Amino acid sequence: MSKILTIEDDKFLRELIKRKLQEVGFEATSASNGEEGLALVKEEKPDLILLDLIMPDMDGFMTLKELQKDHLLASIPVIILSNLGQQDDIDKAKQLGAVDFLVKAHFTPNEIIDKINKILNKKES
Amino acid sequence: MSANFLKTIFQAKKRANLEKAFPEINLKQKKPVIAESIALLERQREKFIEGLKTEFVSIAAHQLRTPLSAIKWIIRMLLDEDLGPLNKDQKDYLTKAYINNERMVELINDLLNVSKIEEGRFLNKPTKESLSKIIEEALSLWVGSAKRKGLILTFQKSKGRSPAVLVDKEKIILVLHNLIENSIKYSNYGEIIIKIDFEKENHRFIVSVKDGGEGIPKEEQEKVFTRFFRASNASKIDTEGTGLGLYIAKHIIQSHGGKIWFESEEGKGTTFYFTLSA
Repeated sequence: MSKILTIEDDKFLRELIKRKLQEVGFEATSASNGEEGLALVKEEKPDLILLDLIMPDMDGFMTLKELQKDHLLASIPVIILSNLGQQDDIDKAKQLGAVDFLVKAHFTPNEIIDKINKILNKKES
Repeated sequence: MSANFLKTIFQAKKRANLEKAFPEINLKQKKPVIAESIALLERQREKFIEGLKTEFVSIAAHQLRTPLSAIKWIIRMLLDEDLGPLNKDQKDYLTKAYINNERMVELINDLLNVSKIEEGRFLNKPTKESLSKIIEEALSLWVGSAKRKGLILTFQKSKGRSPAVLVDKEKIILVLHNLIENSIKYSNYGEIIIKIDFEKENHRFIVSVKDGGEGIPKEEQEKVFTRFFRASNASKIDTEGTGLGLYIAKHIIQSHGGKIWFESEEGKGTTFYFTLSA
């Protein structure tokens, strides 16, 4: 069973994603900001990270930078799940190592699950 | 009042404003370099304000989208019956709520693009792309909706020449998205044909999106590319939209050096065309 970590400051969205992930059979953990998320990444070594960008204290961009610094963590695929969506934000996140960028308001929970499955399958093969 | 006098007043005012904005610099004491300093400071100030504006629009869009994504996700999960079975009425009402929420998301995106266009910040990032692939990608998003309405979406590729273009892919997809969405909205049966033609003498591709739908009333045709234009027959066929899609499409095509136009006859259908250099 793959383990997915969701780093998202909005409690309602965080719990909704977690619920959906568990429903389709993933092991789901979550954190409400970058700092808490990084600690969980180190502790739990998730197979994939869903990362929000605008968060208090340590935002998503800073979290990506920190992940890139650590060899072991840099290989974990990160999908950005944010309501920012300007090309500059997308380019910046991808430069910092994000594998995909999903604007929350444009994707349904099922579509997010599809993206996760695709990336996990690619990783295995 | 002489023009020179006005100019002097204008410059003094400008200087006062700049001094207010940048109090650490006293412009009066450095008369010989004033013109240069003013120009430099103005550029810096413009850049600073530009940065603030970009950030503001980006954050505002983010703040507007956040509650809408929460609504979208929860309605989607309810509709998918993740939280238990629904009866037909519940499904119908939730579908209406979902469609309206999607409309808000679309409106935010369109307004964001229009604000960028008007401020000259809707810039292209061109890369070498296959026009066929771009069209296929845009079409893939609409196959489901077309099918649900009993419409056939057909793509006729150009013969021979591989359609390589230097374009901002996301923006061309947005143009196609707007054109295909309209043709599906305004058609109730038949086929929607997307075609690429190569025009040798002008060394350009012509992409067309042809439907057999409602058509655009003749007296409204000249307003089609203006902001917030909605065809008067839109309400008749119960369709929704922001009226910004074609305005945005026109800007994108023109900023790529192309042309966009249409032919339409009420009751018979509409064909939109746009060109891209090969």
